[in-house]
Amino acid sequence: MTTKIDVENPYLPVPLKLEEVTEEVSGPRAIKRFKVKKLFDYKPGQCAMLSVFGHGEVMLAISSSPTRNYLEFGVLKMGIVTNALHDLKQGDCIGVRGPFGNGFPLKEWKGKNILFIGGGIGITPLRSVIYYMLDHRDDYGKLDLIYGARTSADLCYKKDLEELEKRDDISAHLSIDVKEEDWKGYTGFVPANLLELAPPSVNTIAITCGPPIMIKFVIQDLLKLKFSDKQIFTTLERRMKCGVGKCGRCNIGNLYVCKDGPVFSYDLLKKFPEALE
Amino acid sequence: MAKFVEDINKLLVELASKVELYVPTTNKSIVNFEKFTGEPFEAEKFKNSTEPIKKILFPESEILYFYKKDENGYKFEQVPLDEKKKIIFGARPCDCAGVERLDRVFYGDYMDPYYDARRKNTIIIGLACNEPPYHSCFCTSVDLSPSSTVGMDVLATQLENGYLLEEISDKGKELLGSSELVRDANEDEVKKAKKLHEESHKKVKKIDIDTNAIEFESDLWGREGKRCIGCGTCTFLCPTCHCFTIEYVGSTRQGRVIRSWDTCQFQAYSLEASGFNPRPNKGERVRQRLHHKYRYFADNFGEFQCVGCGRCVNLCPVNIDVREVMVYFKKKKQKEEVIP
Repeated sequence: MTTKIDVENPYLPVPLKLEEVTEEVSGPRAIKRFKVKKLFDYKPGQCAMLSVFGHGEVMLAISSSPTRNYLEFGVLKMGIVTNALHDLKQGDCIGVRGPFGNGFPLKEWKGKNILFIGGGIGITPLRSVIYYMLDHRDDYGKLDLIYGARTSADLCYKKDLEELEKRDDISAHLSIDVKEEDWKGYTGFVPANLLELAPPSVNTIAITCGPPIMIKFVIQDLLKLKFSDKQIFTTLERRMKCGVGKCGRCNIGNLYVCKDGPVFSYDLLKKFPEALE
Repeated sequence: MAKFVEDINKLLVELASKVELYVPTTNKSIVNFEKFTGEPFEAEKFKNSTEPIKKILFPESEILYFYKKDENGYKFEQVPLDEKKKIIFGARPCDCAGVERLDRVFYGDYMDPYYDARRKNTIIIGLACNEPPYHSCFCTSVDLSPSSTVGMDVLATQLENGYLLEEISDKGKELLGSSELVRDANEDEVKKAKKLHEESHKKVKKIDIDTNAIEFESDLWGREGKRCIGCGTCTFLCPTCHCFTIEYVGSTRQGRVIRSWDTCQFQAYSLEASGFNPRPNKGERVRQRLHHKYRYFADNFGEFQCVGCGRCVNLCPVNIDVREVMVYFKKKKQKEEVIP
């Protein structure tokens, strides 16, 4: 809270060309991947504000790892700005400002096993950590990813997931909510898959990102699996305008999700009854 | 050291010849800080302004930057910062303390360049309340007083034969030192002002605000939420409320990005694109306003984000009274302490 950040104007974006736009999921809950040049260094878990001219700004988790030489965002088509973003093509220009927020305490987690639990578009901040850890593989213990979506078509980053499934230095446990033919993974909600797999809590950090309702049940289940409050981390989403703790809307207790979050330990969040409703 | 000026209006004319001077100005039933026109300031008629001085430093709406598309892509152009020298004369101590609360927000981890430019070029001459102007005043309940100097450069106190001017900051000292109309105050004048300050302090009705007594889960929020019409008056007229929105105005080719006041009392304030809203009901939004003012801000900065000006009490169309809410929780806590 006390570190002063020296930026001349934190509201002013930098114009950047979209280097690559890739459709990840099609249909009514479409997800696209937007790649731009690496404007700044950042930590996994941090966010950036993207602007679409004439439409507005949206705060998004950075989905690429800082070990790679580009910035990437996975965007679910949902509101005014993300709809406008989805209409853009490679070569079109957007505004970017950031990075904002605290990021995951990755240095403190060296030597630990990491359990990633994601749902839907919630995979984006996890992806940044996953690739960061795979690029620093010796620093971390066992890596497990539990990830689910409504249908197999809604799974985001399918190519990455296929690649992860083949690797032997991370285990991916995928799920879909409703039964489909040819589906080899788990069928059911993400929290149910978690209970089924029942990973041990010893020397393990669990990070969960996804819709609020999923986070709520995942945390309950992690507690059942004997994870302590300090072993559970999540990222919160709130509506944001400024990104620098001034516009007020992402306030939770005495904290602001944009600058004090979006990464919180459950140990901290449980003190704020409003945070995980 | 304290200074003295016999004819305040002569001093105002002098100041206005050098910089942009804002004074309380009456327009029908509305009193607000407007640019000085030479119309004499009459302290006897002035209670407090309808709106606080906040908007001189943080306007209701301002352009942050322009964007434009040309053959090379987009360009951003920041608007020139407002570095005009300004003096505000006659702000009540509560409203000056409100500026100090705004400083906490607009400096902090990131400096807000738009606020900073106005703030560092503005001198604030506060005016002590010789009488609490309204019965809704409660500055003494939030550790302030009708003569507190928080956020001021100079504190003025009206006496029979002129104004005592106390130098609070270096900026204030420099200002007073530059005028021939200002002389050193004598001991008698200083004493008289001190007596007025003390008497006025006693007249402000004090309530006991206990941060730890304010409950999160309480039926009271639902009751207040039912009365609330969500108009946001309490926040727009508050000297300390700072919430804003940032919007793009224009086409995809060119336009401007503006920042405007916003309020936590609006449903759309925290509504997310997915339809999820962490504070969907008015009761939750009233709770957020009061928790932020009397708990969260206090946790971060050791002072309330409330200066006891009483505007939210006076001007709420459905008579929601923060003082009653605070008294309710205090009494409840006291009862629970007696009968656990």
